[in-house]
Amino acid sequence: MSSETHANSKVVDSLPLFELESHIQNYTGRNAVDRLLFIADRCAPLAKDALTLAIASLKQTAEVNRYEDAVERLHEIAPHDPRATIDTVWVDEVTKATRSTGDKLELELKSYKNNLIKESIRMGNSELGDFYFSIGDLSSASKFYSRQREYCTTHKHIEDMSMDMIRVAVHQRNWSQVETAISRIDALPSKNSDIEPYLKAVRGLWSLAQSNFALTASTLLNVPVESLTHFAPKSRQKATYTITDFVTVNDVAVIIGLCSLASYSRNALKDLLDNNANFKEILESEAHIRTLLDSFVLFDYKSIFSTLEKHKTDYMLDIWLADHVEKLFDRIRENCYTQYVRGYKRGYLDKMAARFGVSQDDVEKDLIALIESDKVPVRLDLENKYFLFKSADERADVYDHVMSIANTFERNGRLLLVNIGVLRGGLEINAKPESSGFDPKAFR
Amino acid sequence: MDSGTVWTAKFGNQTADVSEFFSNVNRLLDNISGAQAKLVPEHYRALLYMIAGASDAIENPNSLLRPLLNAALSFSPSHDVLSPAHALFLIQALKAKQYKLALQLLKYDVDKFDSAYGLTYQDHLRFHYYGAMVFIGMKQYEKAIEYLSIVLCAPGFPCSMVQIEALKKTILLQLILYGKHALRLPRMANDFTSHSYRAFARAYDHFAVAFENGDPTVLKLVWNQINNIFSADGNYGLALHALTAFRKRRIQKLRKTFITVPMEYIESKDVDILENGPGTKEFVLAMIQDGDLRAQISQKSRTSPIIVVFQDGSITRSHLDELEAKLDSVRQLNEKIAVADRHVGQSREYLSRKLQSASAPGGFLSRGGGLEDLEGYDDSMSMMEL
Repeated sequence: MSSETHANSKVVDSLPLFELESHIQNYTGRNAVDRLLFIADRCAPLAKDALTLAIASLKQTAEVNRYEDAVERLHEIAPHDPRATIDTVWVDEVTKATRSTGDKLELELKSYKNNLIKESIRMGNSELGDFYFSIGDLSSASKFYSRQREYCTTHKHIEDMSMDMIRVAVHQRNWSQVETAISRIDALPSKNSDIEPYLKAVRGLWSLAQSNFALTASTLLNVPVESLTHFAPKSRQKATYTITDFVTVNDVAVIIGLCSLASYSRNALKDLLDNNANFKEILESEAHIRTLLDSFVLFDYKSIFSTLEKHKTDYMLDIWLADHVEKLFDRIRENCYTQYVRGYKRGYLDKMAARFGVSQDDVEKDLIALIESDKVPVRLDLENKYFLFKSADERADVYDHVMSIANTFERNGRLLLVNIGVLRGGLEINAKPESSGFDPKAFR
Repeated sequence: MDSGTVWTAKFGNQTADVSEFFSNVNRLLDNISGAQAKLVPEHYRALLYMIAGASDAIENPNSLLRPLLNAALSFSPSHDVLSPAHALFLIQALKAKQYKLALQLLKYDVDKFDSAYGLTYQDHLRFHYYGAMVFIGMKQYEKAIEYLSIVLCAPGFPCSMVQIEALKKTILLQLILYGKHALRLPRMANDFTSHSYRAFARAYDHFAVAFENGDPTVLKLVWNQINNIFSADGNYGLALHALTAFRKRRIQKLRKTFITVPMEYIESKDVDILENGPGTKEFVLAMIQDGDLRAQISQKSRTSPIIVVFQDGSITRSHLDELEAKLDSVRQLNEKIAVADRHVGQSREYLSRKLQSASAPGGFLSRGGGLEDLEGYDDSMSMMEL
């Protein structure tokens, strides 16, 4: 997370429903540390616990810089906490070890380059990329991964390099690089089918970053549930890419649930719940999402909004969802209003307010905003407090369309005739200076 | 024509009785056809200019209008040929604010031009520009835009000052009529002209952007910055109409959202940019009476709130009649275009050009032929696209 993101962050004052320690056990490696630091940033009541856990996790890695940052932040919150002091012995040891590994790898790469052995140079760059990734220097990692490009000799090499680039770019939120790497893999004549779920998950997160909720839901729905529960082994080998590096099955269930609520019609959602076995399995991990979707299908809007409000803090502390929660909630409200009004020729605002669990004034304001932005096809009677569904007047539409075509034809036809006449009569504009007879202000 | 020269001389010497002079001039011009004028174009033109120029010297300049109108109308039986009298008459009519009289000439579309009558491109541009101004005066904005488009798309190089003035008016008119203006000329305008326009009408573009944006605060800010430009260009009145159109549009938009709405709510949305117009209630009432808003005002009792009830539009007999008339007019236009196409195809210039291109590789025999090869004709536009 860049410092810029931190500056724009939305701080949450309330506690989430989850218990931090057990929640973070769902995640491993960099993903867990990222989430802990994110929670420390956004949630003041949990900041100390999150930083403590993050520091403990970071000491299992070689990420000295992030460790020092985390300790400094803890020191700002709890100066007397014994863990708020930098373990200089550990820092020195790790720094020394990483420096020596780095130097060794650089030296090896140099010798490979001298020997001009393409495959070794590629491997050398790849190892250096892995090394910088392991110490948390993502920009250097990305640089070395990309340097493999000119030494790739097989499709497999290109695929591996692109997967490395994707992993780093997703952590950096560098979506243009993700796009380039995915396109490179897509252009290969053959590719390893095992990486397909991983790529789908990445595409889903990319769509979410662009606030394209419909595409996020449809993309993530195609990620098989088995791949969402597969974690990388602790002694990680090269080319082990797991979706759980970024999201778990619980996260995917929440993302799909909220995105589909925001963008799918009731019928489409009902069809998904009835017929998509993969979705049903994913939903088993998050019961409240299943309840939300059922409520939508059963027109129980009051329950939807109360459930969403109840879990809002949880969503605000999710590293992927946080920046989209307000927009998602707005879209879900719009979708609920649209689904509700669709069933009525004429509906009364007081009944609608009761159904949504809000005041009549709020419904009125929301509906006005939605009508003005062409989101719901109704008109309001503010005198008698009801809305009327706007049925399409096809006859008037056809009339307007025909008149518009005829007018355009007439205008352009006249222009054409006049221009033909002008050209035949030799009255084209030429460079001769105009006489002073023209005065645009003469008839004010 | 000799007698015309004599009349001119007499008038110049101020020896004849003015009313007798004009009745005689009137009679003379009634009897001069286009073919006769073609024989002595300079004299004919001089006579017309003399009549037009006399407006400052006589007590009732309106009496000059009829002779000029007659001269323009008697020029060709079909009234579709541009004469030197056309633009002159419109200038005088505009000066005298005789818009209805001017419409007697403008009811005929002009599409035949001939430089042998002593005409220049300025006659053509000015006739259509002044014609547009007459239509603006009569609040026939659609027709005004049509005339201004003809000015904007006039073929040739470089762009004329009349065209720049036409663009400025077009922008304001499009805002009044459609609430938006993309600074984009019709497809027949050439690229050079399009670029020149952008450079000369920047302030108008800013105004259009602020108008389309819909934020009254921004529009007011822009207005305060650039209203002196409108004033200097002689477009202040039209720009004021655009501000009124902005106010109307905000109220008209409510129709999309409401079936009935309290007047109080409309008052909360209504913005009079210059703060010198009528109050919201009076403004809404005027809009209803002028047919700008299909609505009625209702109040159940003296003390109950005033409600505006919007009415739905439906297709009526008059709409269908209008459609029939429009389709008839399109059919006639189509026939005229076919005739023009045939004439162009048979012209010497077209055939020589075809022969030249036929000798070139991939020439005209392989490409077919038609209007698209006419100089100045936008080849991306086919008849079907029209």
